[in-house]
Amino acid sequence: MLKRVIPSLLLRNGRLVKGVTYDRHRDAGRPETTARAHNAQGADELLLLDIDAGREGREPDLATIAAVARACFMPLTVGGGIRTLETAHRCMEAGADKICLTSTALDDPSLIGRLARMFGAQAIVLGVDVITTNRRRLLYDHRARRAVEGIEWDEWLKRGVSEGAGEVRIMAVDREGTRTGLDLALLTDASALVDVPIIIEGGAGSLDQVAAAMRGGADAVALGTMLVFSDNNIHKVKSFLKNAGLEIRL
Amino acid sequence: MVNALSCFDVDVSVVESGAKLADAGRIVLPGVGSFDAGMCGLAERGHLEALRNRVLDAGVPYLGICLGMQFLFEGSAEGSLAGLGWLKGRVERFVSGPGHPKVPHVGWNEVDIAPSSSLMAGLESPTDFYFVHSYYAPLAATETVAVGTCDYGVRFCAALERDNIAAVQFHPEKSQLGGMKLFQTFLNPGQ
Repeated sequence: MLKRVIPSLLLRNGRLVKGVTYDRHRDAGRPETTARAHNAQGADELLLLDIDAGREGREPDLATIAAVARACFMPLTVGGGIRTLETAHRCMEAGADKICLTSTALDDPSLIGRLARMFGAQAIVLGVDVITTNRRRLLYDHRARRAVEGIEWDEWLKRGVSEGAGEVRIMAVDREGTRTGLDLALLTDASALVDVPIIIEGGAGSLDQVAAAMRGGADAVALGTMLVFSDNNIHKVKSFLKNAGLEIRL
Repeated sequence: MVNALSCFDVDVSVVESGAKLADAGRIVLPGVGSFDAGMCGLAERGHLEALRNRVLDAGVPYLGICLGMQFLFEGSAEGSLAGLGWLKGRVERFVSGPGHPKVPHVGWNEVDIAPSSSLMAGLESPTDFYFVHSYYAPLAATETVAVGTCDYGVRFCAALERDNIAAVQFHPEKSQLGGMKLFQTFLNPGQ
């Protein structure tokens, strides 16, 4: 089974942005143009998240999703404020292949199962934001910008998968944008808890770090900063990984 | 799907009801979702009779994708409704748990292509395609029709062909170059 390299695109006001630890976002380009470039370079999938939709209580930006989908001949996962069957359906109609539920699933865990029954578990990705501070790992709510109270990150991970999510995207919030390396310990612990494919994200800054995550059991690595504010591109990343002995599609 | 097909010089229409299939020169049945929800949808839109008329009786070329392949069988472990039943056998679920690969099968994987395949004639074997599914058509049920196989804990049928009917478990519309070549062959056979 080939490992996947997935550009992670954050959407705000019709533009791509990129930040550090979910803050200080800078402009990172046009969505459609970026998607087209990633498609041309053979990205395995694309992850597109409307980062304000959840907080603003609205649907994700369907027009931009549609524009990005037109440039993608590989799977597109979208997320951001999806809290109903109808919204998920509209995202699919706009061109999404998979739905990512992060904060909306926290508000209503039954949403996971309802969407999975309609679209299939394979189309539902559970987004789990984890922040590690003072050696403590906490589940994070990016809307309120603080830890979630009342449930541990590992309990939520297991709960979300048992509700029907077919895949998990785990973001190490404290590492996001820092280029200090992906959280391999988090990856190991998460892998022991659930049996579905895991996409790890947060902190990738070098090619070696991406390789380490894949050797550490990640089924896929999502890259944000590395593809935006450096001279790395999908082709370079994948070639490196393949030469390093990993099973990568070129 | 429409996005991918629109790259070719053909008229593509998304057909909401079976009645509208009458003029179709080729039929593509994609499938996203779950087996029962999909079969229900086909029934409600009047597609069942129309598909039988156009594909089985009139021999219109058909390409089923993902669920569109699974519908061809008598049923699936995923649901309780009957499939189209054009092929004998049932769709099964990947076994999960310790010692087994993760379910669902998500991502790119190699498809070994039989030399006899018309649909994938222009492709090297193996070619990578994108899969996203928890259920599969067993080789035991597809011995005489399988033209592509894939290994994921178990070797399963990734593509099949019988007369005017072709079906693939993977998503050609999401498999970049390999998928586009497959569509090209389906739309323009013999070129």
